[in-house]
Amino acid sequence: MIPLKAENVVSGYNGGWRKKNSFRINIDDFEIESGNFTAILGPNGSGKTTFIKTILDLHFAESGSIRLMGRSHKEKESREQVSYLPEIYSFPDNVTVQKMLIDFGSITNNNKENLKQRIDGLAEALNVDFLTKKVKSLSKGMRQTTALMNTFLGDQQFYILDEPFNGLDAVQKKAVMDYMLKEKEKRHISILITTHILPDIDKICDRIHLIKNGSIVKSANREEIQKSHPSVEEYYIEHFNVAKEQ
Amino acid sequence: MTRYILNQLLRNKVLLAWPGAILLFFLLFMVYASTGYAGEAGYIFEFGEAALPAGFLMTALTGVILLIVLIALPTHLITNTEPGRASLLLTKPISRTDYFLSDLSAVAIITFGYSIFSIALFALFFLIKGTVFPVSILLGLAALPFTVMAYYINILLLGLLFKNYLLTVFFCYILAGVSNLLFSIREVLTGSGIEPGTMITILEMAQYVIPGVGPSSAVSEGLFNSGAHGLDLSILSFGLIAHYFVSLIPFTAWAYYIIRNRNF
Repeated sequence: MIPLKAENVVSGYNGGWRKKNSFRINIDDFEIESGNFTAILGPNGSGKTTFIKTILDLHFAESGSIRLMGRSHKEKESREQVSYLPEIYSFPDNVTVQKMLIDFGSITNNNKENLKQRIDGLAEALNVDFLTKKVKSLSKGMRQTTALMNTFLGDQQFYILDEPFNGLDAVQKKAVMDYMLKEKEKRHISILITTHILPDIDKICDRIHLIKNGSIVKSANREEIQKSHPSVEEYYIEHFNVAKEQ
Repeated sequence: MTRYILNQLLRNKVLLAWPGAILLFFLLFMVYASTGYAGEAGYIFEFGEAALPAGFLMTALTGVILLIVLIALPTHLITNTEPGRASLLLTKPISRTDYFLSDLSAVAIITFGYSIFSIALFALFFLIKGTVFPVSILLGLAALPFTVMAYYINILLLGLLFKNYLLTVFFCYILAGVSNLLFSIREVLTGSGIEPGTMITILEMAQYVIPGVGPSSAVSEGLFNSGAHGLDLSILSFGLIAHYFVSLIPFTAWAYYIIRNRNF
């Protein structure tokens, strides 16, 4: 099953009555293949998060079609096998990490024992030793790891990760990437990722899309990029520098 | 989803002050009230030498509970609908309608649950210390969750419109007052000698737009202050009940429309 297919999607903000800050994304054709790790890269304000929010129906598309896990993205069933890590999230502060994960996990999973096992498994994979700490006492990196645990808790097939490596140190980042690659091998999961940390993309993504002013301006496989550029970072800088000069 | 919101509400320490206040009242009554009996003007609580009308005490108690509700209930709604939390909740396989109904159900379950707890404690007090069993007072307490739900419909809409805790509490307080005023507008104007006219008709129609805090409070107070000569249920007219439920529709529909159409 194709996890995501978007065609002729227009979405955006009107930016108040003066429409001074209005912004639109125009995605003509975007597809993620099953078992693929795909990245959307672009400068701040290029429309990455707006596109992701539109896919998940948090932000309404004005036109176009989005198929998520084979269904219209408007249907709640389309999100059964999808899990999302937002860039900005807010968890309840005054509970322990474990309690918070159980609370959120229980929204869609009634089996508490199964949830506890999943949390323990994830804690081991992501080097987490702060399950009994309260969320409010966590550092930025710990919070981000907790948010990632919450995202990976449900064993879904398709993960949408908005800036997943924010605030993570090198060791933690490696643990997260290893986990994702292991799950890819084991369960054939798909991932859509946006990040500013470009060296990480080299290691995990199969396909890269560059987005600018709300439109996908270039798409390539990792192998194609590796043939023409020393790294994804070089590819990105070259493209956006040229674009800036023009 | 309902369970998730229920968990949030059960952890809301301010809201826990409701059963806490009832428990405190119960303990104080058990220790200090020597008896409760039916006097000429209604049910009376006796505290040593002093005798206080039950209607007065119960109205004061429900006033405190409504204040607690007003302060406590906007918290989870405003938190759950801010983009950082909504992004986590609404990306689950849950529709916005599911979310909306779960929220209302969770608040209703808590409200009715705490009300049953309140009624049970007062019933226990009357069984132990009362000379007669005042059904009207317990029925008055049974009307409390309906007043709370009317408050919550106000909170729901205002919380979604303002996205701000203080503004929500403030305007909800004002609207509850307006609902009470509109409910008694005919009596107020008739008392002042003004003949019913178009203006009064418009004001009377307006009371169907604001969630019916007025009618439900009137039922509670009417029952609390029932005389000692049996239970008078004439206050529970079909018109009043219809008024209450009809008045909940506009704000509920508006809040639902916002939830359905907001970009998070």
